[in-house]
Amino acid sequence: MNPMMEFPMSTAMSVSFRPKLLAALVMTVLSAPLLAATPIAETAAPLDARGSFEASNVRGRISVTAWDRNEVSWSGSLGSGAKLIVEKNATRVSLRVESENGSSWTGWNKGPREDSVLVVKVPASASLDLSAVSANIDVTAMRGSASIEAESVSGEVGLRASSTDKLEISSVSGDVSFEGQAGRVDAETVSGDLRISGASGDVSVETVSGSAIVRATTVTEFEAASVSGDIDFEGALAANGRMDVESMSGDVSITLPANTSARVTAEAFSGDLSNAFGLTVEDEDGPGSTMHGKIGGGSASIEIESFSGDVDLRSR
Amino acid sequence: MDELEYRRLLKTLPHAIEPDRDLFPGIAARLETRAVAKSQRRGLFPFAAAAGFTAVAIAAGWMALQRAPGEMPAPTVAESAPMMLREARALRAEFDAALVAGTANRWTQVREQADPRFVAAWTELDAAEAELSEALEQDPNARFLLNRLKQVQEQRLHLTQKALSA
Repeated sequence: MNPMMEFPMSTAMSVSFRPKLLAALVMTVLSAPLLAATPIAETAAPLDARGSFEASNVRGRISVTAWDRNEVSWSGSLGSGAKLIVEKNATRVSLRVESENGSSWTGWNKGPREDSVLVVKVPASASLDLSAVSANIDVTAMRGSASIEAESVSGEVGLRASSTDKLEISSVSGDVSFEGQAGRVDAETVSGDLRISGASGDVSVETVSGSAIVRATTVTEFEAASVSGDIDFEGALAANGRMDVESMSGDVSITLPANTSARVTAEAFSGDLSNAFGLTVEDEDGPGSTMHGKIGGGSASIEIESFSGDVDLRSR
Repeated sequence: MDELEYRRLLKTLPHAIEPDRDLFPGIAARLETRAVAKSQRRGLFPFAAAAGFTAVAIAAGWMALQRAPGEMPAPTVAESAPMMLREARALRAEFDAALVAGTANRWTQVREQADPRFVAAWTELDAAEAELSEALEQDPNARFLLNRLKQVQEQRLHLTQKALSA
């Protein structure tokens, strides 16, 4: 169906709008080249295999992919009013997209009118420090990086098929995700959802209203905190590991291997407690209930606290 | 200083130190004194608001850590309230003071004129704080609720720092 048929317009109106429409079209065509993003010519600079790469962008995208060369290569496009600041030496390369007029642009009515895109290739084991405001950040195929830090305010932050000793990843309202291997993970959001897959070692996740889903191999320490977002963990806890989970109203689901060895203490004020390990759930004298006891030999420690969220300790 | 420069500067600051004793009663008492002092020097905050934020937060923490327990002034928050509720009130007062001082008494204007993305996040944090406060009233022995309250306040401070650099 012709979409115009759904919004019939009188002939008189149609005629009177035509000159304005034509003028608008002409203006759009004429102004398009002025607002078009400027391509960033592909450029490369040497960087040590264990060097550090930093990038910042306000809006648009930062896309980082690893390769097997000891150099950084970048291309992409700069939105209207943006400029690219490059600093480089053998151990550090920094790319910053900044406003041409030098003013700060975090203000929603002062910022760049167009997205800027950085497409970067880095040595696979380089360290990364990536910052954005509304720009999305994606990182792929890092291998053995000492540390990766990625932060955005409203943009999504995603790392895939990557391994690093230490990962710090956060967004306020954007979703955050990691798929790969990391010795230490610190992930944080306010309203964005958070998904961590493949972590081992120490994992810490914090959200306010976003949900947190963690799929781990074996963690030594797992700390999770939420106000109203749900927390969902599935993985193994090391023999002397520690798990500490706090939630106000979000539901907590912890799935562990049947042969887990841990001492469990769980408390809820009004939420329901349940488990698949035969632990006793007792009502407090006042409001609230507790669930505690030993699973297996009781070598690790699990502490869960909730106000009104349900807590479910599952076995797999 | 723009947002990204500010973040780089923040990373150079030392990490937070957890005190080994309860600091809130003393902080609450000093806030009252500080509030009077602030009202007397209103308008004397010409320096960058974001820098003010950091200075206030660091100064408050440093003062609290330096003072010996015996030197703590008497708490002014109602003694009859359960410990955790008093801590929550003191915590809120401390962060509110940091917000007001850090924005050179323009907190309301800053919030009204900020990027809608920040406003949405603040609203989210306001709701979380209200829910946590209510939960803490019902379960005043839940230390973890106080921890969450602190997390929310820190997020608000962090967001405000970002918005201020606009």
